[in-house]
Amino acid sequence: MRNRLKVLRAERDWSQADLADRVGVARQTIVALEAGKYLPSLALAYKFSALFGRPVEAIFEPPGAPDAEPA
Amino acid sequence: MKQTSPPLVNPTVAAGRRYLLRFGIAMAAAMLLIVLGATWGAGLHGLASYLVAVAPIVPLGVILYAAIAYVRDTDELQRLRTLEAIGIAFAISTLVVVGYALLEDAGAPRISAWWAWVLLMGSWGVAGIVRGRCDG
Repeated sequence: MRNRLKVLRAERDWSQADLADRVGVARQTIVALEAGKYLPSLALAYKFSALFGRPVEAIFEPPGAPDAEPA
Repeated sequence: MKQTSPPLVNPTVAAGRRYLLRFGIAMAAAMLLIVLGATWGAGLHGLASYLVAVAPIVPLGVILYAAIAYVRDTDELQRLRTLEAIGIAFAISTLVVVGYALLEDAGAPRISAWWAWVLLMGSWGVAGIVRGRCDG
């Protein structure tokens, strides 16, 4: 599953460890999320949403979504 | 410009540190009690010898508690990966232990039940490492 975590993190000049500390997960979890190897729970997705100030659907693309870049 | 924020305590990192601390202390205590049981306890008889022999169960129970607490306190992906690794280790250990029990019934040499524990812990560790590498 694709997402914009890496882009949003880079915009803030945060490392993966910085982002992990801000949402309370392991750095390895951020690695798996950015690589699209793990689909987060709704609770974790909302944490990212609150942190970045964007709706969940602007950060995570649902499985099977068209190839277009998310808004 | 890098955005800053107050220092945060990452609950997942804290859970990992607590687990390592508890595991390290309990494993050292278990090893000490096992060695004491095999040396000093060898001269005991009756109930005292049984109590000394079974004493390592207490720190091993602490390790079990530490693992349960880690699974409870870590983040959702690490919890999933830890439980997957435990499940894989259980499956491997069951197949090997039951397989060797059948071989023993067929005449293979009897070996210590300690090997079942070594197998379970070893396969748990290997499964955890392999599963972690799959996440990149």
